[in-house]
Amino acid sequence: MYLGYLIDKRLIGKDIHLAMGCASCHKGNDVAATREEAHKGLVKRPSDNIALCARCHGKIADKYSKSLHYTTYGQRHGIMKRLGAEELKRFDDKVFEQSCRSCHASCGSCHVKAPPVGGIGIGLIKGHKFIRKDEGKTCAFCHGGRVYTEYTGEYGGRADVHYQKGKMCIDCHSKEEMHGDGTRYLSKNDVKTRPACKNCHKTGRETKLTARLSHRNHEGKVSCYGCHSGGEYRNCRDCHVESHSQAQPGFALGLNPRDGKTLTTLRLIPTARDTFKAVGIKMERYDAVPNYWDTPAHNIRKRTPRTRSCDACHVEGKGFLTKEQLIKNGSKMNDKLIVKPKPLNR
Amino acid sequence: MKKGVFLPAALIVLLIFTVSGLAASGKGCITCHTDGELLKSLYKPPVIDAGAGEG
Amino acid sequence: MKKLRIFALISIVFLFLPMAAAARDVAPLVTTDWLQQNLTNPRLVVLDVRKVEEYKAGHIPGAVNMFYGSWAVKRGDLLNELPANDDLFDTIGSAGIDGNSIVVIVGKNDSIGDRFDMTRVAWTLKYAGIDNVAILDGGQNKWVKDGKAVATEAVRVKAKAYRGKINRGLFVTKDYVTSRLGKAVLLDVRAPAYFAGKEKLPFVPKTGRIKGAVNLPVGQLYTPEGLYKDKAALAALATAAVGADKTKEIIAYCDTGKTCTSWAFVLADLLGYQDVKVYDGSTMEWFKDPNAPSEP
Repeated sequence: MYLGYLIDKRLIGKDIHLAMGCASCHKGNDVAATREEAHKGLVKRPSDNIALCARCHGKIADKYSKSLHYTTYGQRHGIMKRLGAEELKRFDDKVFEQSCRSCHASCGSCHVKAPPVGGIGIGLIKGHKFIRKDEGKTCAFCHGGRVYTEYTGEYGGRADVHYQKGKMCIDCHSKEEMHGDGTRYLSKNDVKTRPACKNCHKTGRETKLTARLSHRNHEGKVSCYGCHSGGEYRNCRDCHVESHSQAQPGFALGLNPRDGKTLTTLRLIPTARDTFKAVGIKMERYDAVPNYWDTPAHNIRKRTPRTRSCDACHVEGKGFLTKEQLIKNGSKMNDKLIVKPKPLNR
Repeated sequence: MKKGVFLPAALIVLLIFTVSGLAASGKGCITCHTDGELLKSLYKPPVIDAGAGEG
Repeated sequence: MKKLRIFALISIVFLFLPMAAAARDVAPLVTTDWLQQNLTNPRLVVLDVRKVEEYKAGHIPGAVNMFYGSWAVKRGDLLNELPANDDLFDTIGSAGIDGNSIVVIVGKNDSIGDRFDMTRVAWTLKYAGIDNVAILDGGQNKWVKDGKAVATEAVRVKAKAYRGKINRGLFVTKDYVTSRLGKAVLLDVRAPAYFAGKEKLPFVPKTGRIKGAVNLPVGQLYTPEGLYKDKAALAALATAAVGADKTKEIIAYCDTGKTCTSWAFVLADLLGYQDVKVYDGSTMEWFKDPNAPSEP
C-alpha cells in the first residue's frame, strides 16, 4: 500500500535522523522535480550497510554486525552438517547469500520499515519514525510462520500464558540479545543470554505438592516444554530452492538431538534430500543429523493434559514421536529420537 | 580587497543556505512522501505471485 | 400465633433475598461518558479484551488487558469453548477481578464480529460468578471517537486468588439441548440466509438450523453506527421472536457459541428474561451428528 511510504509530517524538524536530509542515507536526488529523477541511484534499504548507522551508533552497530540476525549464520551452521566439503563451497557460492541470507535483518527492518514477507509488507512502521520496538510489526512478520502465531494463539491453539500476561518478544528476548554482545555466534543455541524458564521460574518451592514432586522427578529428564507446551505447533516439510514448502500442525515428544537424553518437544525441519537439487547439491551427509529438532514451543500453559495427569504420558503415551509418524525417506537419525515412556511404579 | 572577497563569500553562504533550506523546506523527497493523496495517485499495486511462499 | 407471624416475616425476607442478590450495581450497557465519570471507582475494573499489540498502542487509562483468547478456547475441534474452570479462575484473578468488582468490558468495534468478543467474555464472567458485568457501548472505537484520553503504559494489577460460584446453567451441552427440543425456545441468532439453510461457514459441517429454532439475527441489535439500539426497540424485536413471557426457557445458539452471547446478554441482562442459556457447541457440534434433528 502507498501508505507504507507515507512519512509523518510532524517528524520533520523534530527527528534527528530526518534533519540530516533524506539523501544522506537514501542517496538519490532530493531536489529533483520528478519521481524518476528523484529515485535515480536510490538506496532502498540504507541500513543494509551497517557503517551508515555506525556513524552515530558505533557500539551497537559493531555488535549487531556480528549478531545472528544480521549474519544469519545459524542457517548455514545448521545445514552444513549435512554437506561435504565441496558441497559446502557450492552452498556458500550459490545458496547462502541468495536464499538464506536474503532474509537478514538490517537496522531499519526493526526500527523503521517492517520487513516484507514474500515481497509483501506494510511499509514504514510509524511514518518513518525511528522506533525502539514494535514486535507485532517486526518480529511477527519474519517469525510469523512459526513462533509468533503460536504465541498469540492465532495459529489455532491456546495462546502462550506469557502473551496472556502482556509480554511481547523483547520482554524476554532483550535488546541486548537482539543487538548481540559482539560475539560472532554460529548458532542461537550458543547464545548464553537467551531466555530460560528458570531465569524467572524457580523450582523447589512450589505451593502445590504435586507440582513440586513432578518438577523434582522430571528434573534433567524432561524439558519444561515437554509438559508445559500447550499443544500443536507448525511443522514444515519439503523445502526446495526453486519452489516452496508445506506445513501442518503437529506435536511430538522425543529425545533432544542436541543432548540425546532429555525428552522435549520436537519440530520437523523442512530440509528434504533433494532440497538443493537445483544447484547440484545432493547432501552427501544428509543422514548425519535428524529432521526433527528441539523446539522451545512458544505456546506455554500452566496446565496441560500432561500436567493434569501422569497417565497422559506414562500410560497413554500421548503425543510421543512414533515410527509411523516419521517422514518418508527422512534421515536415518530420526529413529534415535523415539522414546517410549516408562510405566510408573504405583 | 575586502570587498572583492566579501561578495563571493556571501554568495556561497547564501547558496549553501538555499540548498539546505530547499532540502528542509519540503521540496524533493518529502514533498511527495508526506502527501498521502499524491502517493496514492502514483501508486501501482504490485503483482503478487500466489505460487511463492509456504504451501 | 406469634411464632406464625415471625415465620411469615422470615419467609418474606428470604423470598426477597434472591432479588437482592441478582440486583446489579451497574447497567449492562454503559456509555463512554458514564465510564469516564466512573474511572476512579475503586470497584471498577476496565477489562480490555483486545490483543496485546492493540492494547499497547493505546487504551483507556487504567484498563487491564486480558485478551479474548484467554476467555474462549478451542477444545478438540470446537471453537470458542469455555476453558477449564481452574484456568478461568486464574484468568479472572490475574485481571484483578474479584466478587466485588464492577467489570466493564472494552473491545474493538471495527466490525460487527468484534462486538461478540465482548459479549462472550461478559457471559463467561457471569458463568464464573461475577454479577456486575457491563459492556462499553461502542467499545474502544467509541472512546477514541469521543476524543477521550488514551494511555499507553501497561497497567500491572495485583493478581487476586479468585474462586467463584459457577453458574452451570448459563452454558449448556448438546445432550441438554436434545432433551429440551420442543420445550425450550431455541434461538438462532445467525443471519437469515444461514437460518434458512442457504449458506454456512466453512467450518460448519452442513447447512441448516436446529429443528424448531426461531430466528433473531444479531445484525438487528445495532444501529448503523455500531451502537446498541435503545431498550424499547430491542424489547420489541425480542418479543416478536421469543415472545413476552420472561420466564420461558431460551437456549441461544449460533455456529461456535460466540455470536449468540450477543442476544443472550441483552435478553437476560437488559430485558429481564430470566432463563437464558447458551449452547456452547452450537452448529459446529450439532451438525457433526447426522442424527441430531435439523431442518430444513
